Amino acid sequence: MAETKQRVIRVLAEVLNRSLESLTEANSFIKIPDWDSLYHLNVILGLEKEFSIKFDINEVMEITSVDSAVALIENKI
Amino acid sequence: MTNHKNVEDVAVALTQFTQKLPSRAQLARIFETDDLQRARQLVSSWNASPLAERKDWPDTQSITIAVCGFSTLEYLKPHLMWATLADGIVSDVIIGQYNQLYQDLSVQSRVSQPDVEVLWVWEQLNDLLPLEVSKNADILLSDRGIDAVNAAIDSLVHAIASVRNKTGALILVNDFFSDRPSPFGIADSSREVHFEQIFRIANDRLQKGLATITHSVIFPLAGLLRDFGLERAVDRRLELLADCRFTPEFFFRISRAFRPYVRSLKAAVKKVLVLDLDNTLWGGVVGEDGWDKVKIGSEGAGKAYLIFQTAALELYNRGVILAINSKNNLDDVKELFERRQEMVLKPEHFASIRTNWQDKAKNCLEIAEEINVGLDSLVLWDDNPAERLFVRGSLNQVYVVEPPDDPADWADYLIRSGLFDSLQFSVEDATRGQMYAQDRLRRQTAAAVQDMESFLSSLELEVEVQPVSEQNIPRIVSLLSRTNQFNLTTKRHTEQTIRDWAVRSDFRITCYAAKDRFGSYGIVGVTILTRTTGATEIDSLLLSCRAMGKGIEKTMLSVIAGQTKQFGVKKIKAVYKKTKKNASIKDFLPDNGFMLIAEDGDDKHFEFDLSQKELVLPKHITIKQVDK
Repeated sequence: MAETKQRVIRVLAEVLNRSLESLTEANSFIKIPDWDSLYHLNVILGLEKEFSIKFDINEVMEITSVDSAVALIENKI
Repeated sequence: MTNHKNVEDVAVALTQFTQKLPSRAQLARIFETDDLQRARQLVSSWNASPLAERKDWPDTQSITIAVCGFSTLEYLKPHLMWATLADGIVSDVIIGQYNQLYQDLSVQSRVSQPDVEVLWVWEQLNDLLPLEVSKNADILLSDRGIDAVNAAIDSLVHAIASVRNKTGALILVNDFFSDRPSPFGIADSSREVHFEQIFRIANDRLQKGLATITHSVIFPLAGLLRDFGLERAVDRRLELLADCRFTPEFFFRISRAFRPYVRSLKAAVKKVLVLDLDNTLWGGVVGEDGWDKVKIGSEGAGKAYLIFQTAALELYNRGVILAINSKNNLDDVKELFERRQEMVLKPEHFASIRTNWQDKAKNCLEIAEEINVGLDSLVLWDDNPAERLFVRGSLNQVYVVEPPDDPADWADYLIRSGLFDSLQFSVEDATRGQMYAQDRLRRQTAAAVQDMESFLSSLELEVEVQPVSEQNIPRIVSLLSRTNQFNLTTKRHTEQTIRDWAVRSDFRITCYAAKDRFGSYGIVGVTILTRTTGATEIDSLLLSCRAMGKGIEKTMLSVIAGQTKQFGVKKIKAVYKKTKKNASIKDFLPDNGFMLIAEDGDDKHFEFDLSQKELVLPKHITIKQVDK
């Protein structure tokens, strides 16, 4: 669980081109400065690549935070 | 993008970013090898402005690209920025208003500002059709549907024609393709109008419409999509949630296919294909296997090498210069060329042959020097990764291709790379490869003759002076856009500008064709002279580098002198505009008696007074004047 969370945060940092430290507290994506739908989809694509999984369109919409992403991913791997 | 709190943050971020950047050669390799993983990382960091300060990014140019259309195109932006950067061109990408193509094209918007050099229109057929047609397959696949398609394309062409009057940019328009199956399934082919047919009709109409608009071309998205595969290119989730019609993977491929357009606009088109020999032009090593054992021919693996040679020959026939850079004994190679008649490439196709045991970077330098082109005009094709790494590491400017592992894939890869593609193409351009190869024979003669003067007279050089005409405009534009070295002002005039000036009485646009006893050079020089008050002024004066040093330069000046007298004035004004590449013309004006009258930054202003001095034709040149 903790390891999955770390990997999710790392993908977030890469997609947003920010440092890891600035993101560890981020939980709800919407609270991240400049967050928009393009970032959202980039994060989804990044997570799919990182964990070699695929989200369907309902799941894409359900992933709105680090925690919801971790829960869904844990279910799939 | 990131909002930085203050200037210090920005500075720190830029420094970190700059340090993370790959070198130009590394970046070129990322795009060369489809290294999407690495490209993804790059694409997430958008700002490329500090590049100009880095030493491994020499001669950086810049370009402004506007993209407009109906779908979400923001994804395209970072891909385009990195793709152009791989050719040393920093791009500023402007994305038009979402879903407002017609507004962007019709009003005075950001996309039609004068600094925009490429205007790229992104549309799909559905975007252009009325809903009652696009949502109803029975109507779409009927005569009414065809009428609606034709009307929609005509409106698009009309909007593009109106923006043509506002901008000098190259206009690219995506072609159409079906991105879903026919709603009629297996019954599609029994209908009067088929689903795929609609897209063909639309594309034909678009092609004909764009043919009437200067400097506008189709971007072949449909072909790219076919090569890449629809299922990989489209992600319905992205489309449904963000109206983003393609996957990042396909945007990456599109950005690669976009590079030749930018290279062509920025005079960064490659000119020379430098080929290795062993395991490149044939299978095996001639020095070990023997000339009779290497694989080349119409059967088996040898066929792959033969087809690759044929692809190189096709490029040669389109004007690409060929050269050899190999580690071999010259005698082995000569014997192979003589004895293996299956070889499609013959020694006479090559403008420079470096077959020796010195390192390949040194050979590249010598090839560039021998045929008188910049290092950045060279493309190296070598099967050996170690050689590629070495040349890439030692010569940043040389473009090193990463060939596919399997020689069977090489021919397609070479042609598809678009490295030698140019938007302007003239008859002269097509024979360039041949003319450079003839030059190798001229040089051999020059080496045999003792002094320069008798060499020049032995050439029996004839220069034909042609006024601008419908036939030579493509060549004039091509020379203006690609001549870097012997070019006084390096003004890249568009075809439209030349056409406008051609009919004005205060302009003299002239081009110069040359031939000697070894063959024709074709049109190699251009001068543009304008009448100002009490004088004429040289707007442009250039000569293709392979014609330099034979007296054609002076011939052009003597023609300009004649034209100046025809204008009824005695004074010629000229400006030398220094660039990174035109040092060879630096002393040309003072050497021929022009007086330096002012300096303005890098610009040097000169004057020549015909009432005091003459500009004479070199003795060894015969001149032939062609009337308009």
